Amino acid sequence: MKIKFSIIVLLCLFTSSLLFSQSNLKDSLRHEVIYKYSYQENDKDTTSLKTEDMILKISKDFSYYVSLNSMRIREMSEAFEKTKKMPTNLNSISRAKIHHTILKNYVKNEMTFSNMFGMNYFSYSKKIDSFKWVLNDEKKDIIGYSCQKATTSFAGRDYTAWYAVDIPISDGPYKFNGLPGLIFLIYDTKKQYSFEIISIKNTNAFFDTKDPIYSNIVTSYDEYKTIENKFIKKPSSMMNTSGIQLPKELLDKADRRAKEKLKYENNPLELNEDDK
Amino acid sequence: MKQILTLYFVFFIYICCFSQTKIIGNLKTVNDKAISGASITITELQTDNILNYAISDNNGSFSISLNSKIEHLQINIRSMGFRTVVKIIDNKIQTLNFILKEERTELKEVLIKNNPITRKGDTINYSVNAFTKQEDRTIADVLKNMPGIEVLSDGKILYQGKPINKYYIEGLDLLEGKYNLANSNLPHKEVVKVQVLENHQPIKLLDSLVYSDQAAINIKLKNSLTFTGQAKVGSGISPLLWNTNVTPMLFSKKRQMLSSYQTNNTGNNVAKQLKKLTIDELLEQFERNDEKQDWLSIQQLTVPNFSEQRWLDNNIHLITTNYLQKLKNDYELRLNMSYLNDYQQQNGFTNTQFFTANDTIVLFENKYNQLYTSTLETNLTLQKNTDKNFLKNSLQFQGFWDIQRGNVQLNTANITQNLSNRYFKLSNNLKTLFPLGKQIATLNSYVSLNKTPQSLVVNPGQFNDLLNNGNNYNQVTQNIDLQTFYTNNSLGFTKGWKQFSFSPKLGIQFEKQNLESNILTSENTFNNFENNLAWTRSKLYFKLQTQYEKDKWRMELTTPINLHNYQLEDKPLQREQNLNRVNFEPRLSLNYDLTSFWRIGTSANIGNQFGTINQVHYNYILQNYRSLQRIDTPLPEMKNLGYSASLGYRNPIKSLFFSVIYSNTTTENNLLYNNQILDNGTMELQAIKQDNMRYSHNIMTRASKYFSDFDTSFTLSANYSLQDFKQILNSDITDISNQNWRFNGKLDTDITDWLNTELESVFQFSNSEIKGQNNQTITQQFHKFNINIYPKENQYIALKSEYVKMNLFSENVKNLFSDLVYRYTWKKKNLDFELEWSNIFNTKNYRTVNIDDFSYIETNFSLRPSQVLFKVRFSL
Repeated sequence: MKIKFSIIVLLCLFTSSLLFSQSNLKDSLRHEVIYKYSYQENDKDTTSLKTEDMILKISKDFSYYVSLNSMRIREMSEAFEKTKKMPTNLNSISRAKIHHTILKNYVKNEMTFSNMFGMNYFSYSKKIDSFKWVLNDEKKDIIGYSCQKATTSFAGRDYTAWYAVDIPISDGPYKFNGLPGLIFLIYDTKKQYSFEIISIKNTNAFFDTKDPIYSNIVTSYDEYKTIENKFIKKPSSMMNTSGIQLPKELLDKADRRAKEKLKYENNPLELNEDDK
Repeated sequence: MKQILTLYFVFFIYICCFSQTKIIGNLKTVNDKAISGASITITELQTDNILNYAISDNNGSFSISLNSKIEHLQINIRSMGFRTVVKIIDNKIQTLNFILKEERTELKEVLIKNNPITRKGDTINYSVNAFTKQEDRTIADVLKNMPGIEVLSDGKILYQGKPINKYYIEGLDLLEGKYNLANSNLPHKEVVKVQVLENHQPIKLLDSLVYSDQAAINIKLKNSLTFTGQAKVGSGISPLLWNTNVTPMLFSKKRQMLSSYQTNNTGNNVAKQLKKLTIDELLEQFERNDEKQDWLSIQQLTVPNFSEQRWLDNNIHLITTNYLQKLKNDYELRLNMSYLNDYQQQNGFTNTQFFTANDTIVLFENKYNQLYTSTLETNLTLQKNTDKNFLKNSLQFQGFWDIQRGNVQLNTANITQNLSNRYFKLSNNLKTLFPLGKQIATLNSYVSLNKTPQSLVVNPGQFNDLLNNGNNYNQVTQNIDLQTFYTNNSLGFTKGWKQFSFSPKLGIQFEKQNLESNILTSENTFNNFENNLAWTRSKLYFKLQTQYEKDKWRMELTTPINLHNYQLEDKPLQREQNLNRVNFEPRLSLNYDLTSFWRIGTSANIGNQFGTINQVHYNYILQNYRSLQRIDTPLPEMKNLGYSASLGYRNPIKSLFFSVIYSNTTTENNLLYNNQILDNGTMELQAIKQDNMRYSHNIMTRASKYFSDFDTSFTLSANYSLQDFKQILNSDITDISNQNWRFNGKLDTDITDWLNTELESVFQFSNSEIKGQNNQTITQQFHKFNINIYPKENQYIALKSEYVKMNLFSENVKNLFSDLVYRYTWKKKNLDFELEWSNIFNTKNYRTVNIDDFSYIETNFSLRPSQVLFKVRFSL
């Protein structure tokens, strides 16, 4: 009886935390832009170049940057929730390689970066990065828009960007922003990282930035960095092992493999940590 | 002087040519609302060359500085949703405020010419050549190099972090879950490419109806015929030890074969490999209740509760063959066959105490048991898997020709037991899927026939009073023959509606059994102890499973209605009983995620269970040499009421995980069992009809934390269980209460990258209370300490120690076990060498204690002695 009682008390205690519900940005969109993102995972190995299509969803007050593949899976699951009918175009979807998403809140001048470790998304918010752009008079045509050149440095790499003044949206792929027009093409001088626009679309679809599939855990920047380090140091520490006991040797091996993989992927976009 | 001049000159030029201008301003809509995020650029007249720019802030304000000598400038104000303003201004410090007119701005759309996402179907092709490194030998090695693919140490393949659901070779699934056999042995030279089939639904009919987020792998072979294999040879001393495994295999596009021969006497129970069950299969098996059943037994020795390899004295031979042939019209025929032969020996003694209300009866037995196992299993499967049809039919035969011999020295008397526990089963399982209206319906049909001819011979004869008018006699024989026919057929489908999904299922089960048994004694040919029981059971069921999922809620409600009918008749004994029951057995479970860290769940269920044929027989059966059993009672009926609640916390930020689960079950039984314990320790079990309750509570908690500063993870768990029930002991109804406490602590530390340690301690306390009187608490302790060393990538050293301590009747028993393992992998040749020295301290005996409802059994079991084994693994 005592046990029953204490469980009820426990339950009551934690229901209070129900009140914590996170509000997420949602609004109708204006434009959707797709970038082809190319990245070289290993510094030396030029064959380690990979690509993924990333979509930038732009509304009046915010923009949301996410992998197109994960966006499609998300849309599909939302459609399934509504209709309970399996979409027929399943086969055209592949799994996302890039898991980070960036939400830029123009009004608050705040950026929310989230990434997946284990089975959860972790996110932190901070001020939108400000870039020191040097403008250049050079021009070129990209997918039918006239673009101008600008250069900047960010987190240990020098970049060349091409932006279209005709699209006065001071945004771009990843964390890039701050030019007097939308960034169409940006690449680092080593040509290891590049973002190239491949599609522009007008839309007024309603968009909710909340991921319906994975839960998101809000952290501070420092906490996020701890998690990232922990994940690199011992990936298995992020797994909830309650219930199933895995043999130590197996876990060690999995960790070793993951570490080796992370060791090979030695060429991140941000070489040095940006000052927050 | 020169310096001052230069400075002056620079200053002069600065003023002259680059006088700085600052233009500030504000942007507003017609309704006096600030416009933020607009781009304001200053360009030279007639060109696009931007001199400088600004983006308006939240108040619509901007500020631009210029270093230009041009007299006139152009200011361009652009903002999405507003008409662009272009104005020519003077190059001077000024404030410019603008009111922008709203205007719908549509961008000139550019759509991707060829959508790069739509790929050729859902197949990704990896060319094997491109991913092969020099040291790679098998296809598993190459798979590890392919992006997105991981191969775990146990051979499991992950694609994008998730396990694959099928492993095909040339589109054929020979091995099902045991694909590692092929994967780790097939040389990569034989493979031309590896295909990853994303979102693979193994049942083609369900493709595009039921979403699968798992991938499958298909291996494309270079040649039309590939022969390969693996061998593992091990040998050791004290006494002569062997451990051998030879696995040849053959693959082609139409025909595939994999065989394996394994033998050892090192305590490795390879028979376990044959058991490959998913949870679904286990549930089905529980329902069918037609697995091998041993009615009779020799007096067993309780086996120690730690690693089998320390005590199992075996001599096992296992041959398996898997063969797959592609037929016409998309049919596939698969034959799996296995034969197992094992000879096990057990040595030890038991000290048994039966607690009765007035007395304690003590029994001391010295045992030597020989167990011979001989088992044949075959499975012939015909499968058709196309877009329009799914059909899978498995015809299975199982035969057990098992023999056991037991020698018991009871005080000074010698008793021998000879048991033949054979079992034969022929079964057929059909599963087919077909469209039913808009749904896809699943039809399952299972039929089985089985026979259990078993006999037990005991010398000298036992139960003199009952079986031989109180005189000693030479031999008693118990014969049993049970024949069973069983079938289960069901039809079901799943339908979704809003957040709900409904799965109705209709089915019928039918079981017919015939039990014949007799007891023969050497003195008396006249037989009074016969069972001739005819048993018919049928069950008609309708089950509706409802699932609901929304946001943070998950609910599952199962509402089955079951109609049971039982008919039992033993004509010679003139006994019969009929039972009809309509049961509603709902089960509800609810889960709710409070926050991203906390989650709670609860479940409740009502269930009914009925006895099986071995729980009702009207005449005596000699189960083992000292247990003679008759259950002349109604069919056992049990009503369960259970509920559970759980609370979980998982915080990956702090690497802290915590959970508590409480469960409670109340069972109402209609029978009480009566153990008549005779002075010589022999036992007669009878049952009387009397409603009684059994209550059990269980609470379990577990917490774990990872300290990244020390590379240490720490886990604590505790478990408490309590059971209250009634038992008849020598004609007295007795209240019994059993309590168990268990505490477990575990500490894993990575001292360096190549060295880690693992420490685990378990404390267990058991206590039983009979009629309010406490028996001595039994304390057991298990401690484990392991050191793992990886000096190089291809080497592994492990030192494993186990320490066990427990308090028995009068004394404390302590045992220490240590093993040393060294493994070396020669990657180039794909050779593995392993040296294993187990039981370094040569511990010879092990004592265990078992407390059951009414007895206390202490077992002394002879263990495997200290042994050294050397193993080599290579490819054929």
